[in-house]
Amino acid sequence: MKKKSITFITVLLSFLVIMGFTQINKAKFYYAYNEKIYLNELDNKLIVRYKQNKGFDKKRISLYSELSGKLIVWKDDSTCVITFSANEKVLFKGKLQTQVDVKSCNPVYAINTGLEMGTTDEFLVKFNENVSLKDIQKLHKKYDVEVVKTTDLYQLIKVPAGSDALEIANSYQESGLARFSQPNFICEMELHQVIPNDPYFANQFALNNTGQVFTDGHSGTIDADIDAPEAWSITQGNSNITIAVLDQGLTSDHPDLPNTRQVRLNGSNFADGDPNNPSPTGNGNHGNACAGTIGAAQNNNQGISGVAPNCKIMPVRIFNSDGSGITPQRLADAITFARQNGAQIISNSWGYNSDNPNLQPVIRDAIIAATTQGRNGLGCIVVFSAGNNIENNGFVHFPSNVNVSGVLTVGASDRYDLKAYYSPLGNPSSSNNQLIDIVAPSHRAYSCQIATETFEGWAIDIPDNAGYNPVHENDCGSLPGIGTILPNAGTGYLSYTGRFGGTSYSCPQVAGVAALVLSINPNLSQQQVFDILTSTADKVGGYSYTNGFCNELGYGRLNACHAISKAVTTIASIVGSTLICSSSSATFSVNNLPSVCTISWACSNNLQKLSSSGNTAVFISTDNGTGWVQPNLISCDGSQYPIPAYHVLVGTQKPGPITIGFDFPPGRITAQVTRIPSATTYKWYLDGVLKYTTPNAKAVFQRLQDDYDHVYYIDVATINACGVSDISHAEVSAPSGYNAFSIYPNPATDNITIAISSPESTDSASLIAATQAARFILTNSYTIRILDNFGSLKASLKRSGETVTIPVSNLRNGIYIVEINDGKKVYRQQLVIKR
Amino acid sequence: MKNIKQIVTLVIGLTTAFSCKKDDIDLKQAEGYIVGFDPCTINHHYRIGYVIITADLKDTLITYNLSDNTYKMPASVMCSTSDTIYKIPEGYFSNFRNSAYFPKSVQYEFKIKLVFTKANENEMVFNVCTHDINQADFNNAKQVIIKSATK
Repeated sequence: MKKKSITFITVLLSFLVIMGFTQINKAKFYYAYNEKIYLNELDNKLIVRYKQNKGFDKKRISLYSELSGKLIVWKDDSTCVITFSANEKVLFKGKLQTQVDVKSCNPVYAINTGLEMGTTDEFLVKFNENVSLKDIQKLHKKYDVEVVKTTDLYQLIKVPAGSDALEIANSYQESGLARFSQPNFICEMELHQVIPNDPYFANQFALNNTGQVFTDGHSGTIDADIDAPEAWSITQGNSNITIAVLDQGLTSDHPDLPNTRQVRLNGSNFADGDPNNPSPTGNGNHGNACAGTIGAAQNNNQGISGVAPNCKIMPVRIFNSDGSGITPQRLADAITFARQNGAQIISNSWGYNSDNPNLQPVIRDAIIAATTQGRNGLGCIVVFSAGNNIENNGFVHFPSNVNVSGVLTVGASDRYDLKAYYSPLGNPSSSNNQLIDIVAPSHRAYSCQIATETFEGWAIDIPDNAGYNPVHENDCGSLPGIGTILPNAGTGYLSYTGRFGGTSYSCPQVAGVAALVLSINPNLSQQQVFDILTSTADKVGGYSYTNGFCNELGYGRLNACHAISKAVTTIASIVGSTLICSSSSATFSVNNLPSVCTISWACSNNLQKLSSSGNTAVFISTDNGTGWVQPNLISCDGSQYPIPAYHVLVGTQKPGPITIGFDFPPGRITAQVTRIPSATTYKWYLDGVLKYTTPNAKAVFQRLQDDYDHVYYIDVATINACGVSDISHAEVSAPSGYNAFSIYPNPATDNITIAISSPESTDSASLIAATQAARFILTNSYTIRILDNFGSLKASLKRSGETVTIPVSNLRNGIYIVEINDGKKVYRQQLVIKR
Repeated sequence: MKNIKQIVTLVIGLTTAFSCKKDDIDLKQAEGYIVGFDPCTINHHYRIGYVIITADLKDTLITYNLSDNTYKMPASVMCSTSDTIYKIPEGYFSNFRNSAYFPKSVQYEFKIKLVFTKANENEMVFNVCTHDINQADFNNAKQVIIKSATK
């Protein structure tokens, strides 16, 4: 009995060990190069790839696949991740795999950090360099795979239906033929974004559109927003930046915009009432709504979040208690007040019902002064809403349409990234500057335009007052009911509203992003801020953009993340060596980079990046010449913004083309190259012989006597910290023969002067010495002889010095030869006597 | 004599032709309905800026100015004036941010006969307005000055 028990226990233990071993073997993993990364299969998700593009059929998928109520997240037009309740996955996997239009249905895994990684029917492989094409084809044939794409980096491989791309990828890696072989994972890129705790932020689709249901049951298109949370990961604004809001006033110490973040100045009320109190009256909440959209406090567990929640608001009241506007003169005064009191940005969600760009010259001139004289000449950033009207395509209202450079004319997009129904359509052929510069999301349409639409922008409201909370008459449409309060719950809910809209709501968003941009770089001019905002706007809506511009949305929909990223590139600077050698690496770093920003590096072909970390990278040279390194700022959403390239010298520096001149000074050849900063020494050669080793980029050589048609060969190389460069070579023929001495006058009568050519170098002392040594005629002692036409000697004298005068009055008219012999060589010239 | 007669006739003719007319204002008449108002002037004491559509629906007029001080345009019941030709319920104005028009159900409730002139450039009125208001109703409307009005 005892023996039987022992046997049983032994068998049982063996079974358990084997089972355990089997389980270990079943653990899923993929290879990151040769490292195994273990994967945990999620029991509630499947990744489904359809055979066809389902771009226009996504809603139907949830119906015919019995997937109603399941969370379906589309990764592209044919691939989605479906989330199930517990224990449903196996059931649905079976169903999905039998559907004719389903191509593959695979599990979703997670690595130990929680990152979810879905597999499909594809994997990526890079073969080792020494692997033959035959071996590769053999492997492909073994697994019956299809090569979809081949690049320098990888081959994209598709596995047969029913096969496991993960397992086949692992088999490729284990074959020893692959540098890497990994599934073509579908996984979420990590976005750097800040989601504030303000409870109504979830409704601020304009700032963060996740497709959420926010107002009146509406939901929009994912990412049809200004990417505010992404931008906030870099900056939420700087308290040194002040935005003047010219409007109906701002509630003092609003719970979401306390006076510590307001710049409330005496004289800032240009309308009726106390001139020193810019608070709204009655239900006039428009100013609050605009100011809150820019600057409402963030992460205070209440209300909404402004676009620039750390910047300050300067309320300037320009509407009377009865809602009427003040006079043009007073409006001009208000703009001037904002400019003179240090507002960097002036936000204006108001206008006249006219398309005349010069309707009120006094206002236009106040705007010009703000854009030219504000901020000590950098110019205030002036932002105007375009107005709301669509009849006959509407028009851009004055002053939004002023012809003043850098003034931002703001239209409205909607929750789908389309032009809002009421936002004016630009008209480039109009003489009244009827153009939209940029748009930001706002409500889609008025209920009189689309019956199911009305205001849906979230903002702050006048506390404990009707303000914009209750909805009034709604005869035009079916939403919402009269008297409906929105919001109707939450801390101090009467201090907030979900009923703001029009281009009024778009304008302060642009002003807010301008404030974030200035928070990054306060030294940008107003025109530079205009350029940053418009150049980084998203070209959405499917409209026809020409040179980045369309009539519907101007340069596109505002994107705070991109704008700030571009602003960062204006302050980032590169620090590093100006010379990179192959023998030693050089480190470069980017200064003034916000801590959350990441960098990818590019470089010229003659450089190789060895490593990079944070904001630094190490490079080494692979060839000589000039080169560059360029950091690219990886924006909040993964897009890249180039920081201006940093130019470097790479390796030894071959000099540029040699510039050659003759006879300046006389009898000399002057050779010159462009100075190379890293070069300490230049080696100059004449006809293959090293003549000078000098710090000069210029050399002067002595011409040969009678050098007509002689070809001079001049070479130069440089020496820098990386070594001696290749030689730069030039060949040049002497333009005419050169004599070592000159006779004048010639023809002569009574006297002649003989001048021995002498060096006149203006170059360094060493060069002068060198050219002295190269003098043709030694001037310390030489013999002059004059011979007639028949070779008879007529005169012979010993002389020294560079010039000598000889009487020739005794010579008859005729031709003579003058000879100079310095003991080394004889030089000759013809002399003519003619009286 | 004949010449004198001709000269007199000519002088009279020229005088008549070039003399200033005492009343050269181009008065027009219209019959229609008050259908709305300028939302930018919603809080004005008399609710100026009424939108009037002619009975044949061919023309839309807006009036800001009244030439006769004794005459008052329609006012809301909230306004205490007693001599207006209509008292319009306050609720009709309450949708001002969405639409300049009164509710459709009462669009033909306020009939009006007008004598008016077209406002010239100096007489035109442009109001400063917040840009959350739908201003589409005003794009092509004519601004007029009412000389007289009756129900």
